[in-house]
Amino acid sequence: MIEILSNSALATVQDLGREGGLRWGVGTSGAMDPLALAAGNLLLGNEESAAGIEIPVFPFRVRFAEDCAFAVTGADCAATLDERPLMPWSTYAARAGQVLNLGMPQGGAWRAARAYLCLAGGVDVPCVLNSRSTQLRGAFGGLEGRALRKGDTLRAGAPGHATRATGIGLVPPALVLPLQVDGCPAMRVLPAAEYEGYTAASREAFWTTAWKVTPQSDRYGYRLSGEALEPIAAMEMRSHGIVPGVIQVPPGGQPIVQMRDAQPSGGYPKLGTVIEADLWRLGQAPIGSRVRFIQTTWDEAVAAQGEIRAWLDESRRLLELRQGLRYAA
Amino acid sequence: MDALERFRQLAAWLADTDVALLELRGSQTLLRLVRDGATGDVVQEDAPDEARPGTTIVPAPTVGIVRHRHPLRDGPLASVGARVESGEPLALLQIGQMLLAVPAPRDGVVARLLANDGDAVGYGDPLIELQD
Repeated sequence: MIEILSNSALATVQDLGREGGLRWGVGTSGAMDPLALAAGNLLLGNEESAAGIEIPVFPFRVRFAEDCAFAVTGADCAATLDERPLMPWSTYAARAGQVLNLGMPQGGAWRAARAYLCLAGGVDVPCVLNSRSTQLRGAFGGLEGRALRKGDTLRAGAPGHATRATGIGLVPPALVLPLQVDGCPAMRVLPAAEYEGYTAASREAFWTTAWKVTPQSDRYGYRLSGEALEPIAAMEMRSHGIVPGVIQVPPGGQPIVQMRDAQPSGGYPKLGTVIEADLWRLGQAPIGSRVRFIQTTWDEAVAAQGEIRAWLDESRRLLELRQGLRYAA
Repeated sequence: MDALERFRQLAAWLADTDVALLELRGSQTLLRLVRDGATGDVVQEDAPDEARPGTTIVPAPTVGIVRHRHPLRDGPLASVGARVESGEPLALLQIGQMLLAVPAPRDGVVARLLANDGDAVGYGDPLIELQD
């Protein structure tokens, strides 16, 4: 069991998302950086889809009420356990009473916005509609359907003496599978239904200029600012189904990328869709940073998803090999 | 597990691989297993890089590529002259995309780095010298 010590604005319990509920108007939720969450789980020998805590605001402090193995992935936030510095993306074993502190995200080799605290056995909250993710809009899932508060306690699925050694880590995928244009994190985008409805100059600007992540960006959507995107003629549309990754363009011409807490329908024209394999890159882009978009194809998008799968599979293989050798010795 | 049992285990692992030669270095001896179905030698050799009094040579606990800093960070894990506590990571060994911390076996001061960043090292190769 862990106890939240900080007034942790917007920290939520998330797993890889709630699939299959769009027909009932239930969005997917889930980790903004599913790769970091899955990696933290693999490090601990959990199922990739186990729930963890997504932390977007720092500092963040928890106290371990019992011995428990854990890993902090995502943004490197200079974590300490009882003041002792920890490495990012690495396993540790906390003893009862120890305090984990996550500080401000560091610049370093990868500037990221969100950290994930994973616990041995996963964060044990009730499964609602096949997921433990917090659905903020519907106020269910996670812990009581809300963000964590000071004094909250969460149970780990497999606390106790760590079965895995400490100090086992992974090189983050941002370094293994980098994607940048002119020094900005980049995401591959498939043109969407209304793409041809924008002027050639606007389409060109979308691909060739940097887009700033505005402060009005959160788990629901990333509002970007840059050159206003102009339609050839005004488009009036009925509400229709949308999914995380869809890039809508409201009348002001400043795009909004739907993120994990997006509602399942909307009526703005769609310029493109950030491919599933790259959505974590945007989910980790800090407010105020700039991102770029790269035009891609269906086949490339599928191949990119394969690369993500391969990274996870290779992580699992190496970690199991390590575990096997340790056990046999 | 006694020595003979360990030897059998190592031979069994080796038989399942395409590794031609396995060398294991202890404090005084070198075990050399060749995958030809027959050969296994224990070679006496001079202890390499004998630790000076008051110093400890920290060996590589496994094979890997030496990393003196975490790939996300600019600063080194342990620089010469730094005081370290038992259990603190002195270096990392990278195997593919996996990173394994090499913990300090005791409190001490980093006296020498015995392997360069990016070096491929084998089991038991000296990595770092600690002194009191």
